[in-house]
Amino acid sequence: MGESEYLNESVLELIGLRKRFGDHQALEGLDLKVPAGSCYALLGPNGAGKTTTLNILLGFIEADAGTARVDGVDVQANPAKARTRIAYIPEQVQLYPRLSGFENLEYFHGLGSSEAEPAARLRDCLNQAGLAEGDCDRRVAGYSKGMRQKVGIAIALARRAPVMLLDEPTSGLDPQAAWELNNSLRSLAKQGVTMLMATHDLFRAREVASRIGILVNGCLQQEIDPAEVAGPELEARYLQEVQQALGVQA
Amino acid sequence: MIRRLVAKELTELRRDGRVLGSLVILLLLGMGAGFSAWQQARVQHQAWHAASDGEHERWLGQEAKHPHSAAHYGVYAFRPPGPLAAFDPGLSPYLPVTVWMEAHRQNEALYRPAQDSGSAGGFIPLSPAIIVGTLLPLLLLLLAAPMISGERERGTLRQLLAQGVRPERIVLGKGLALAVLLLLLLLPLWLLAFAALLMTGAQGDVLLRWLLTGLAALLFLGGFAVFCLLVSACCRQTRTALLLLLGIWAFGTLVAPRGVMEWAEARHPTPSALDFRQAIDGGLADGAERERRIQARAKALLRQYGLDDLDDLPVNFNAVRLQEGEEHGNRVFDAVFGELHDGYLAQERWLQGAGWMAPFLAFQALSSGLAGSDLLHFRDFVDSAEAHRRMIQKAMNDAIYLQPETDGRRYVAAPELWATIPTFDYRPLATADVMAFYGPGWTALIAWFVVPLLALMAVSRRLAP
Repeated sequence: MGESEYLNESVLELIGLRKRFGDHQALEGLDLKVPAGSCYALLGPNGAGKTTTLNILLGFIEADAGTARVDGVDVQANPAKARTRIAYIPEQVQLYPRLSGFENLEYFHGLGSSEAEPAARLRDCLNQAGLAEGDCDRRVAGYSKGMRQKVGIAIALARRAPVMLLDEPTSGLDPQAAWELNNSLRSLAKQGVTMLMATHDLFRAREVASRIGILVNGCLQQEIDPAEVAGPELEARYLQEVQQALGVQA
Repeated sequence: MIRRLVAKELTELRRDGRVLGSLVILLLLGMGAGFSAWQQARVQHQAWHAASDGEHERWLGQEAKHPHSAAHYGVYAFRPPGPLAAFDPGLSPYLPVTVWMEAHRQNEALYRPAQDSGSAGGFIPLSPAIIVGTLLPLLLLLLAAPMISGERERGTLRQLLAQGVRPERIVLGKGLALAVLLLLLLLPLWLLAFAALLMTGAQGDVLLRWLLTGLAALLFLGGFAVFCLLVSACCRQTRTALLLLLGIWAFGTLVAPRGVMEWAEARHPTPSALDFRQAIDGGLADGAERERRIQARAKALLRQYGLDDLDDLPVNFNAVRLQEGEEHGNRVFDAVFGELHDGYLAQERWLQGAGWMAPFLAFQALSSGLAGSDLLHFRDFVDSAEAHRRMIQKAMNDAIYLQPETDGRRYVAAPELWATIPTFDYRPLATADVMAFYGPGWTALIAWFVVPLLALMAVSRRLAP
């Protein structure tokens, strides 16, 4: 297979995904394809179905209908196998407060990987995520939210999975750390990692994503190539879609 | 992976000052309780040896006299402390320690140690068995309640599952960490108490009993730990798991024992002291059967020797009368004491059966049973003392039988006769007999281990963040 062919192949694929919670239709036949080595930003207001999509991909909840595939693995049929292809950064990274940042990374990585990773490489991941060298061996109980987020990013980086799912990854990060994260994500994309990022942050989405989807009421309203739109236009189109779908007067 | 899971749990527990503090306090309490129980058991053993030896000396020190006078002179039987009483005093402080063995009558056992303990008797003794049965489960509960619910509440469970970790492995890691902690806590207590037991020179198959006590403790605490993990796995919040488990612990250790005991008493009532004495007095007063037997023996002896008059017999017919009187009394005592003790043992079995509801009851029953400080051993002691009393009476009457009283001269036995009576040396029940009686308790404990384990395995496969 040639490189261009590989790049065009969808590593993340959602077909007609539906999910209902009681009276609330969280996903209404969502179709989405993310080619290998690209970053897809899923924009949407609260309750749009972004986290539900990620939960289905992670195998935490089952879709009522439709198919979700990760790196060719059907999530519904084999969630455990699908998870081995995924690195995940939650909105709020939760760690064990009595362990240091490094120990947390070592623990999470050790559980998720069958191969032992040299300590130096794990420290590299922490540095790459932006955690200062002096903070790596401090107990997490004294970390700020941003520092915990960086450890979460390091956990995802160390996993070296072909797919990365990110749920509001810049939430709680200072501008410098958010900028570093974006650089890391761009670098990962260059290495062939496929990313799906749920976010509210239009600015970061435009900076890092190769494609942006606007999700409202469980439906993908519009897909945008960020290279073709300026920041204010992206914001205008986003607000228009949201207001239209929610029936709000501009 | 499992090793990593266990190591992380233990590291967190080690770094949690509260947990470390609790463990140290519990260990010190255990050591203190063990030392105190050992001291107490040592003193009790010494007192028992001194009393038993002194009593036999008193018996041997009788002057020459008629054997029936010696039978009335009587002797005390002393109940030794159970083989593992240092671990679990059980009912020992509340059960009588002596029986007065004399002619014609099976006396009730007397003198409860708790009567001599003054105001201190009002306190529950902090024995190693109490620590294992009540305080260790409390510690396990505090450690296990947040293990899975806390991971879920914090969000780390979601991250662990997202890492591709199989949920049952997470639960297994938690369980093994608890098991390691449990062994670290139990082993020193177990070995310390064992050393103390050896030093007190406890009798019986102590080693086997101690191994079985360890097994019962492991089943009880292991089952409780698994149950705590199961509750933790089912609760979304640690607070809910903690409250639920605290409620279950309080019910099992504080409420259920009292309630089930009252239930057992209502289900298997025992006669009141008044009814008991009236039954004995009434039975003894009804001498028709005794007289019929005496007449039959008289006829048989006269026929055997071809005589017409009992006074001409070459044997002492008074011994026959005395022995028949004993036999008559024995039948009455067997019936009345038997009914009383059967009632107590039926209550004990009921308590064991209630172990299905509260495993603490099953553990308590097994622990005191293996310690030899329960009603089963008490009844065995009373029965042994009664058998000894009957043996003395038979020996004295046999001696009289061989000495016909001619010319109105009463037979006077030499002190050598007293030496033919061995010391009353009570040996605790064989462990196999104890195990047979406590079958329902073992079944309840095994069920309390296996059922939550199966439930936990089923729940852990579907563990959701």
